[in-house]
Amino acid sequence: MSIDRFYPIACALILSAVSISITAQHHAISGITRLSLIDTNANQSFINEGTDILRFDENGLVISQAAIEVKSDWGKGLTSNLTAFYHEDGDLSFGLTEAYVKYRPLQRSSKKWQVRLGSFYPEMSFENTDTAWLSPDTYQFSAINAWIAEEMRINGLEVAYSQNGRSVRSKWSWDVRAGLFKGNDTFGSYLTWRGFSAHDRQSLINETVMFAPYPEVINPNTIWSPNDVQPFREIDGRWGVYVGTHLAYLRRAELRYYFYDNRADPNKLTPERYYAWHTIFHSLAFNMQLTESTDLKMQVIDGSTLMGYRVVYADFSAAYFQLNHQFSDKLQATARLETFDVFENDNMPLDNNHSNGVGATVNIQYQFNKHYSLGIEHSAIKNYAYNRPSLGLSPKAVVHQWQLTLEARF
Amino acid sequence: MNKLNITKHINFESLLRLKNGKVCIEEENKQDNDVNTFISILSAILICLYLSIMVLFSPSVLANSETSIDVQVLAADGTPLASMIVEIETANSNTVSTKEKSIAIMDQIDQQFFPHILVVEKGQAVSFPNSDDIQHHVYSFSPTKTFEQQLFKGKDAHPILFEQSGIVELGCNIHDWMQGFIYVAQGNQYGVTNDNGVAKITINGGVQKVHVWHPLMQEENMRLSVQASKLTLKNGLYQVSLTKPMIESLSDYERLNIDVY
Repeated sequence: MSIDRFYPIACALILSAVSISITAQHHAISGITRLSLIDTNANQSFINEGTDILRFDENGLVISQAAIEVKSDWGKGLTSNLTAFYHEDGDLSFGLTEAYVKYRPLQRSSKKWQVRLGSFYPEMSFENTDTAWLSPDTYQFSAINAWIAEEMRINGLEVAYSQNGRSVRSKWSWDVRAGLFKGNDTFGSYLTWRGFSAHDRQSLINETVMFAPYPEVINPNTIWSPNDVQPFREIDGRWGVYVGTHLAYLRRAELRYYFYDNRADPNKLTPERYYAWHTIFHSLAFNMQLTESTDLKMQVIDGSTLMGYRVVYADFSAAYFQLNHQFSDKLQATARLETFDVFENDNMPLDNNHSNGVGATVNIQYQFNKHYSLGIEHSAIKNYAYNRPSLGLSPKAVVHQWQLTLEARF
Repeated sequence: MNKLNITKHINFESLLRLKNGKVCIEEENKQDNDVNTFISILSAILICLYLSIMVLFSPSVLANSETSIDVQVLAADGTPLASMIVEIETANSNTVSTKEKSIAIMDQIDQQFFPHILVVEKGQAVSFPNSDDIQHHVYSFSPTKTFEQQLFKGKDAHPILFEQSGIVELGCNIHDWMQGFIYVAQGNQYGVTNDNGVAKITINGGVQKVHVWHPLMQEENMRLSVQASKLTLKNGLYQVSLTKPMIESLSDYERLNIDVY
């Protein structure tokens, strides 16, 4: 057989093999788009290098979310998840937020294990449980999960071991898990220099996120660092770790505790002067179905972050408390109260990174059908950031934002 | 031709004897009675044989022997128990039904199996539709039927055939809290108890054994099986009592009412 004749046969064989393997798989594609009419009193968002902690600083119509999620089943318990976003604002317009494979084979035992590998969010919170890690309750995330959305991603491996109580005739279920990761070394810098924020923008993998050019941060005579963060940058080569445990009572209540330590070397920095920040924190989240139609969610975090020889050191904490009520299959309302605080205690008092705030968010959504919904949300946040005077601004800001959002999903 | 003539001759002679003397008539009658008895016995044997063949091979005759019985299931403390599966074993339990069996449905609604317990006959197929907007992965490691089936959103899966009688516990590899059961009965002699703990069951033949099952039972064997001779008959009800208390219901894992079958 001549080589010219062999090629088409080889191509056909390869295509057949590919076709067979593709038919053996299953891909579920879901998408979500939110078109929002914004009314805000924010002057300049952190995304536009301002000091306001909201995402939007102009009134008008925006595409606040445009995401697509592809869940693939490769058989034998192997699945994968790819989530991509389009953003109108920020550094990158299009990119991935999560990309991972999960292996959970069928197991006869009541105790089951699973592994996740890739880039993903840890399952610390009960807030972001919708498609593409969005929240089913509010458009804007709580301060805690807005921070997770912009600065955290686990680029590594997670192993979980769990037992559902029902299989052993118990009302209690448990889950223990641990993760090992790299590429989260600048974690904490955004939180310290800008403070907590409230928004719904998830950073894309390999994206750079901006904040205001605080003189003491960018000045070569002080800290001398860029006024942006590359949240998923690996700087020191060390592995970070986290451990978590879930405890659930029936399907009515669940408690999740996580401890995170990125084990970064705070004295390492890149040629562009991005520092590694050693950040640790505890997270405790609770979810309870109070009645058939009322759901409670809350989360508390407490931790610290260190950069350099105590050039920057800050303790931080935040909490939210949220109630959701389903008035009918179509109408729901959510109210959330939250507080957040960053308390600095380091060797550079000139770089004043104290910040704190309290906020309230109310959201009402009406579901027309499984594809369309309309909602209105109001957020009011009073916050202080004591590095704002360095830019000639008042440390205090009270921001209000209304958004009327039409959501389409498939 | 000769035989016919002789017969006629004999008959004629007999008539003559009837006319000529009493003794002759009695002797003749005695001989006739013997013949009639023989014919009667033979006929009875043939009728019995015919009926036996009919009983053994005719479904219509089988149907005519169906009766209905009421079985009440009681807890160890005497409380009537609802939603218990009761199966009656008779001599005809193993008779293979010639009726075409419908495909039973075990749906997935709001991330749970619905119904929670499904009863089918041996040889019946069960379809697992997916009414949720998310994927499920149904499996069973039960010896009665070991299988797995992916239930993708908006995609039909082929029905599963349950060839053996027994109990099948279902799970979902994606949603660990999902649990369901399929009770595969030997035949169609089964029922589910109502709020008074009573199941009305149509049976064919005499009761030999009564089997009772529910996933919350704690009997030593998975089912409680009682011989007919040990059943209590009270007010027309066959009563079966559990020997151990049921464990507490875990229906709070569900968001739908799992007691609706």
